[in-house]
This record gives sequence, structure tokens and C-alpha cells, in this order.
Amino acid sequence: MRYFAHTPSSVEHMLKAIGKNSVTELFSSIPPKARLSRDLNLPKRMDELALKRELAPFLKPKDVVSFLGAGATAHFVPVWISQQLMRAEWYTSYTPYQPEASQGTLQAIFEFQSMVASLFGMQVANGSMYDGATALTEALLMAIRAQGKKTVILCTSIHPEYREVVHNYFKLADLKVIEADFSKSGITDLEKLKEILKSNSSDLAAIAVQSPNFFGRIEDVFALSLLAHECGALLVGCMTDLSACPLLPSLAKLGADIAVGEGLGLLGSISLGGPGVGLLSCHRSLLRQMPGRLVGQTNDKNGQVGYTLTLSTREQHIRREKATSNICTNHNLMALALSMNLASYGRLGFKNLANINLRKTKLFREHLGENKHIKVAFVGPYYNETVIDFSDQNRLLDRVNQALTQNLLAGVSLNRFYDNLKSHLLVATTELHSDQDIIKLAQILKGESL
Amino acid sequence: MTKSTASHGLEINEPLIFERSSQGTTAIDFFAEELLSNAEIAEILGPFSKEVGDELLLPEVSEPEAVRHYTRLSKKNFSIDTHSYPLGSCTMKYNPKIHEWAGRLSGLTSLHPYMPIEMLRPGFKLCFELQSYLAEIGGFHQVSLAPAAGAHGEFAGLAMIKKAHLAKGEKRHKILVPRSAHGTNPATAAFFSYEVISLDINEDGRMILAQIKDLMDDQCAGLMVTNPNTLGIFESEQLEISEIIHRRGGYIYGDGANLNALMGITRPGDLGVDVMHFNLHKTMTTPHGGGGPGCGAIGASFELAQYLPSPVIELNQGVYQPKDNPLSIGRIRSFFGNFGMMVRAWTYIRSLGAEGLKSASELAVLNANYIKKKLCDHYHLPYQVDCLHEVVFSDKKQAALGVQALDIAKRLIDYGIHPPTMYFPLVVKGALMIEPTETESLYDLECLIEAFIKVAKEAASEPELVKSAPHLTALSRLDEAQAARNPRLTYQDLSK
Repeated sequence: MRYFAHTPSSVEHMLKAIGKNSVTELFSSIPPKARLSRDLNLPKRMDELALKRELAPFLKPKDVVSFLGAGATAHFVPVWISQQLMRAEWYTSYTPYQPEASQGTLQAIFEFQSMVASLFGMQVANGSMYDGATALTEALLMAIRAQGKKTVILCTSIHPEYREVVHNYFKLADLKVIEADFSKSGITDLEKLKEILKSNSSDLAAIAVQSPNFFGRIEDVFALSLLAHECGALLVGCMTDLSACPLLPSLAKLGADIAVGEGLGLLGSISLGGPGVGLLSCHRSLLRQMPGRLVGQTNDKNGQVGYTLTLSTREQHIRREKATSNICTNHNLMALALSMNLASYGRLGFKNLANINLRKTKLFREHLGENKHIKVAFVGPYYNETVIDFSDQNRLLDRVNQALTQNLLAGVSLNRFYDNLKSHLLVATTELHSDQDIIKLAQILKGESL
Repeated sequence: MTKSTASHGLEINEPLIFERSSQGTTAIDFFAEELLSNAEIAEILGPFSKEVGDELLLPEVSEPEAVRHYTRLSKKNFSIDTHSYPLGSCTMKYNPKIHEWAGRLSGLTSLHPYMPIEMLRPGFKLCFELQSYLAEIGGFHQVSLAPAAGAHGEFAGLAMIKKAHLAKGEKRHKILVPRSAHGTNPATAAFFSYEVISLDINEDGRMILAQIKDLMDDQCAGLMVTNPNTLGIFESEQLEISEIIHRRGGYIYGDGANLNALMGITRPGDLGVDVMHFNLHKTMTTPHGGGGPGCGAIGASFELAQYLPSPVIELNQGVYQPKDNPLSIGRIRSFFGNFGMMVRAWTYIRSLGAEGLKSASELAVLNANYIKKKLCDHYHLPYQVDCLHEVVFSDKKQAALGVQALDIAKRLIDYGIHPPTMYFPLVVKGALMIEPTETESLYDLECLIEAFIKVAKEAASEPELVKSAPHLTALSRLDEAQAARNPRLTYQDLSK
């Protein structure tokens, strides 16, 4: 087998040194009744040539232009990053427990933390989480611990899969989740929220909001933070597309105490939604409640500057059952990929990216126009996604199918997530789409023949 | 006599990327795109616009600068491809390059979770196949690939056990965990408010049947077990232990961290484990990536399979699709899990097949026993019994000379060997836990063994040399206490 260096003679040499007669003897601690008495039933092994043939159907992407976003909106990533990520020193190393042998990873995480803190305007950020959904969940659990209370409020304009994860975790820990609905304009209904707060404020640890929200609308995060703080709760802000950051005040500036996000769209590969990278940041006062890996700058014994994992007394390998979380990893390679891309864009490039996304979406909306059957469902400040109401589910399906015949994936039907949005389609328009494709899609969706 | 792989190289100093920045530089141009004016932006965003002058702190570098920065940083890392990396319990085996090719195929990376399902079926087929392979390897009824990491799999597993008990109207509040367990085990148990009852180990390094008999009652949810345990020793009485736990209504959670010792030899499911996470990033050699992403796929018995986290892919009348299971603990992360890792694990299992996986386990165990034999005269071996894929020594002999496990670890770096896992498991004072894996050649094993022996000798002859190691690295002995006392966690912190 190509990955094994041993030969029969080296095996024999080693067995002799160990004092065993056969490899089977090495397993004598496993009683016969506990052993598998047959071979595993798996497909026959393959050489590399055969494997490449087997996987050949995946060589090319589908020949479609995709307007699918919904928490997995792809953005441009330069070629150098995929080449850099192939460096074995990055992807075949382990968690940097030995700082002398891992300064590369440690410094890169330190830089990542700095960039994430800046995106959210926060003072501290950790070395990343599994994904946005678990980052949001852990942020709410942080709030529960910090506030000593047992209830959180989720705005229903947060990504539905994120909410599902929060519900599932909270149910298991006997904690309470209340949902606050959105208004006709597709952002959190502040009046309804105030009603909820009237009877639930005493046990409230946090309110969570996403902005731009699942519908692409910008939420009034500041107003929500005032409501949260008035009843002594924290505000947790969430973003699923970081490219909006250069256009909007940071979540911290808008009053969020903890900010989380997902970097998937900026990694160069959506890959069925994973691996992505979860971001978690907060005010310094919440640092000791933060889960996950943190890197800090320090000095070595000769006074030279270096980096090391730090504050590990929060973590499970030291604290065991008293740890802040059971999480003992980050999504390091994805955090690295995100840092590389943020560094590539830089301040100026990232601003341009956000600007172009907004322009594309403006263009799409202008060409979509409005008629008696089709309209933009939620009116108000937006970023790079648009919800279209077709007023009839069949019309939606029909137009989406028409788009597909032109090799355009039109968007995500919201019917799968919201009972009251049966005829609604979520469309993402970004720098990856040409103006022509955007206009073409708008025309098809509004029923114009091409 | 083999030659140490370590030597002096040209050490590269590399500043923080922010220190390379010059205002207005970018590595990404958009020549062909029009931009909106500030007024147009303000018209769309209204009161939600960012204020002028409120700038993000992002680096401002050209593409060549970015490439040089990250290439230089990468050279400061040990990695499997450059060094022996015998980290116990982490299974740092070779990461085949075909996996990286497979994981990057654009037909897979371009899959979007909300594409029309017909377009996703080929991807689902791959997931379904991987689920079945893992079920066969582990001896389980069904597998979910949803968990993002081992600890995430543990979370799912205990959630399933809790739900299964609740479904029977039982609220159990305790769980048995051996003292040798990974720290994630008690941390996960704590989330579910299970009181952790610690189990002792006997002089053979194994759990004690009589103690389990004594402690297992109808208030106890079950047992969390790692087999082989973190001493690399097989829990020979697993079948008897399982029987006790099951007879009293409990379930057994298996920590699959050490599955690399057992493939094709025995199956945790056959030994009575009800639910177990696989570490695809260990056993199935998806790369560790400097600490993730991983995949903590989770397998379950017939009884517990209905509680597996979503999504599980099923094959229904020739069609691959996510299964809707009303009793599932539900979704525990977004989308379909770390699909990129699944592709790599699928490729690995197809490369090796049944015989290759069995050989992998056999050679991993052979390599560990060879190291054990060669080092047992030089390092104290706290448990003298047969080990499987890893061996745990202690610093007892060297500590008597004033040299600790940490010093030994640091000195090994000077010999071009990544240190073993230190101070774990906690049941061994000054533990040095070595897991060579099957992909280390005899030549590389001899290098490793020689390095360990040299360090042991130096501990006796020149203890100061060891205690002040490493000497060949750019940095030596970073001050972790200082880092924790006054945390500087961002570039922004440095200007304070």
C-alpha cells in the first residue's frame, strides 16, 4: 500500500525486537470473543488512477450562474490563496500547543483575531468557531453565564438554520428561547418585541439579531440594543456575510455586547456549506466567559516577541467539567483562509467589494421594477439580497424553472423556512454576477420573454 | 546511526501583516466595475450608513507582500510533511495528497446547500456511502456526519443518550467517566448537567469492573469510554462492562479518538458501545489544518439511531436525500456539516479498502510497540502491559534529576521531532504520550527513538542543556504566564 513504508522484512525485524512472533500477537489484549471474526465489508481498495476515474464526474462545476445566498453567499477569492493553503506547513500541522514549533499558525491566528475584532468593532475575538450557527449559540450561552439568567430572545429574521441550532442546544440545557417576529418591512417588529419584553424581561439574558438579516434587510440594531440594555440583557449581533462591514457601523458601535458571524462566503468554496468559519467577538469585560481558542502576544525567555495560546484555564483540558464550553478546536485552516482574503482585499478592496455588491443589488431591483404580481417584498435599507414576492407559489416555481432553462439558479424559496412566505424568493446579487446576468434574471423573474 | 533532521537554517523574522501595510494598497483590483457614489449609498442605507472616517483595520498590502508574509509564516511551523509528529491521541498520520485534489474538485466545492435537490444528489451519494463505510468500520446501525469536530460529536452523543432516557420517562443525573478520559468528556457531560462520577483505573491501566458494578445505578445515564484508553491500553473487559451498564438501563458513549488501533480488528458497536464519534481528522486522515476543521461523525446502535443529529442521508427507492427523523436531536450546526472533510475521508477509505485499513491499525500498533520496547530502558513506563497504537511514558527517571516532561519535550524540538503529548492523561504524573501512527517508516522511527534516548542521556549528563531547550528555534520558552496575566489578543491591543 502506497502510504506504508514497511516491508515484510522490516516488520519481521521489528517483531523480533519487540519479542513477538506475529502482528496478531500484538493484539493479545483483545480477548478472542471481542474480535471481529471476518473482514470488513467495504468496497475493494483502489489505486490513485482508479480513484481519479471514479471522481471524474466532479471535475467540472454545474454550468449555471447561481444567485443562491442565504448564509452561503460566495464572493471572489484570488488564486494565490488556494495555492498558499496547499502549503503542508499550514494544513498538515496540529493545534499550536508547542509555541516554539508553531509560531506561523499562532501569529496568523493573532492577526485573524485582530481583523475579526475590527470587523465587529469589538475589543477581543477568539481564534474562530465551527460555523456561524454554533458561534451564535455559544454567544448566547456566554450571555446566559454572564447574566445568570435563563432566557434569550431570537429575532426570526435570523438565519433559520442558526435559530434551529440555538433551539436544539437550549432545549437540551433546559434553557428558554422566545422568538420575536418580523414586521411587514422584513425587520424585527419593535412593537411586538416590546410586548414580549413586558412579561419576560426579568429572566432575559440576551436578545439576538442578525444584520443584514436573512432577508437582506438592515436591522435597527441600535434600537434593539437599547431595548436589551433597558432590561439588563445583552445584545448579540450576527452577520452571515462579512462583506457588508465596510458600509455599516460596526455591531459594537450599534450597541452589541457580543458579535458573531460566518466567513464561509469569503473562503473560495461553499462545498455544500462546510467547512466554513464561525467568528466570535465581544467586549473585554466578557473575555473570561468566552469559549474557544485564544492567541496572545508575549515574550520568550530572551525577551523576543512571540505568540502563544492563552487563557486556557477557560478550556476543558485544564478545567474539565468547569470549562466554559466543551469546544477544543477552532476552524483554523478556514480562519487562515479568511485572514488571507481579508488581507488581500484590504481596507480599500473590501470597501470596493461592498460598494459593488450594493450596486449590483440596486441594479437588480431597478430592473425588477414592480407590477401587480411581482414586487420586492420588504422595503427599506438593504445590502446584497432581495426578497421577491410572486404573490402566488406556482408563479414563483414557474419563473424559477424558466430561469433554470437559461442556466440561472434564481434563488432560495423561503417557503422551506417560513410558513407565511410561501410565494417568496431570496436572491443574492454580488460582484460574481455580470450586469447582463443580473438584468437577464430580473427580466425572467418578472415574466418578460427574452 | 541515523542523522538528526534538525539543523540551523536561515531564520526569517516576519512582522505582523499590519506592520507591512501602506495606505491605499490592495491585492484585489476591480478595474471593470463601476462604483456607487457616497450619495447613492446614503440613499439606500439611509440612517444605517457608516460614518465617514469610521474605517476598518484591515491590512493594506499588495499580492506579492501577502504571499511573502504567509509563506514566511508557514515556515515557522512543524508539520507532518516536514517532521515526525508523534502527538499522542492526535493520530498525526500522513495526509495523502489525492485527498486535497478530491476535496478541491469544482464539481464538489461549487455545491450550494440550497441548490435544487437533483443537483445535490451526487454529493449526497458520497455522504451516504461514507455513512455506510463508517457504520461498517465501527459496528453501528447508522451514522450522521453532521458534527464539526470530536467534541461536537460528543455533544451529539450525550444529547442522544439524554433524549433516549427522557423518552422512557427517566431523568438520570450522573454519568461515569474514567479519570484517564479526555477533558472534553467531563466538559460535555457538564453541559447536560450530568454529575461526573470519576472512575479509577487499576494497576494495569484499566477500568475496574467491580467499581462500575458498584457505581452504576438507575440514576446514572451510563459510561463515557475511550477504548483503547488514553494510555493506549485496550479495555479487555469492555463486553462485561457493557453488560452491567446496559442491564441497569444505561448507555455507553464511545470516544472514537483512538479508533486507529482497531480498524478491522474489533468494532466498538460489537463491544456494546451505543453511540460513538469518529474523528475523521485522526483516523481517516483528513488534515488537521493547524487545529481544524475536522469532522466528528457519529455512529449509533439500532436503538439510538433515531436520535442522530440531522441531517442523515438516506437512500430511498434509488434516490439519495436527507432523512426527516422526528425523534432526532435535530440540527446542531448549519447546512450539511464539514462536507469538504467527508470527501477526503471517503477518498481515504476507498484508497485503503478493508485490508488497507486493517494494515493501518496493525502497523500503527507495531510502530508504537517498537518505540515502547526501544525506550523502556530509558524512560519510566508506568503501565507495563501490552499497548496498542500509543504508549505513555513518564518523566519519573528524569524528574529525579530535575528534568521535567516539558523540558524533554522542548529538547526534542532541537532534534527535529515534534514533542509528544505532555502531561496527559492526568493519571500519569509527567506523562509523555507517544503515538507514531502507521505512516512512519522504520528509518523515521529510529530517528525518533535516537532523539528520545539522546535527551534521556543528556538529562543525566547535562541537565541544564535540556532544561534550557530548545536551542535551535527562533524563540524559546514563551512566557505563558505573562500572556495570561495581561492578555494582548489583537494588534489594536499593542498600541495601548
